[in-house]
Amino acid sequence: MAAKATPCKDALAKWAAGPGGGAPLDALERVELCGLCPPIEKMDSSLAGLKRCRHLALSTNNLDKIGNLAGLEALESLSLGRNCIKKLENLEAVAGTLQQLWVSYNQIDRLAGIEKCIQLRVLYASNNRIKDWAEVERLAALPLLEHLLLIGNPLYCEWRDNNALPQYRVEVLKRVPTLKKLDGQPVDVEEREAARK
Amino acid sequence: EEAERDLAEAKPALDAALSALNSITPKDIGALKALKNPPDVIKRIFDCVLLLRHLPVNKASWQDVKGAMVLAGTYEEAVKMMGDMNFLQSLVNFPKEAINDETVELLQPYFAAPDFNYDSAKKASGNVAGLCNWAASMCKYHEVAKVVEPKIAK
Repeated sequence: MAAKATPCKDALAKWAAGPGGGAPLDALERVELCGLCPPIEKMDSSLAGLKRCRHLALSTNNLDKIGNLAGLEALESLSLGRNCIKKLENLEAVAGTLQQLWVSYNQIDRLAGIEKCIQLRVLYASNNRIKDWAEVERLAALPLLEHLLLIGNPLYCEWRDNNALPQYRVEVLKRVPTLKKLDGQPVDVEEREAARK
Repeated sequence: EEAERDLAEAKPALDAALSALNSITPKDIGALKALKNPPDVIKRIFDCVLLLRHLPVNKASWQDVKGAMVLAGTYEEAVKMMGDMNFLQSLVNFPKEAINDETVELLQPYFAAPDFNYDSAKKASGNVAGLCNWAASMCKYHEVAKVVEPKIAK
């Protein structure tokens, strides 16, 4: 019978060993622990060794919390899609460097915690549980945010089901005027103009 | 010129994607919908289509299929998707420029399964196996375009 979960520490050691083997944890710039069987359930303290890691991917696992990011001094992109994460917590440790946060296919209903990630350029958060404009308004605190993905959230589905996606786009742009791409489509001049009114 | 050369490299992937789609007929989709429990590899291929379209998939869970651990498919969502009369056309018109790195990463665990390829899908369920090539081609296109676009912008 298979173990219930893969310890993060073990997955990390295996990645560090790599096909060639032998890279020390603190030298790795890219770490991908995606789609492990059995899934990873916890971000543990072994992650602290990833001093130079710029891209950390833990998508397609079974994480229910974000944590143990202290020590990832160089982290630019964090990929946590398709887990069971409910809130954006414990991001303070990487808020000064984080440029991309990928959290689609989780159970996030509030974006509280995102405000501190002032370097953020990309937020992919499709298929979560965001249902209020108040959550989108939090993104106004991010001066560099260019790409936002909200498809499949209750807020998006409500406007889509009312055949009102063009208006939805303008509503998002009113709140987050820095966006260049929304839901995969470039923001055009007319939309920007409509959002200014 | 370098950008053009790189784009030319992506062309075969796109052609493969289109011919994969053209091999599927509405009749194939109809036959598939009639199956209560389609072959497992087909369920997983449809997960890739769901992910590319940002449609719902279940929490990741693994199962043993012929000795290999593979992700379980979210077939109820696939059936909903096939219910749309324009399903095949929507794939032909798929906005491939809108694919992002996250989606490509979410597809990788499916591609890693030993039976996830056109031949085994074809054996299991005929023409809809073309969707397997389509999904792979979309990812390939994204990877090439990502390198080319900044060069064109210059």
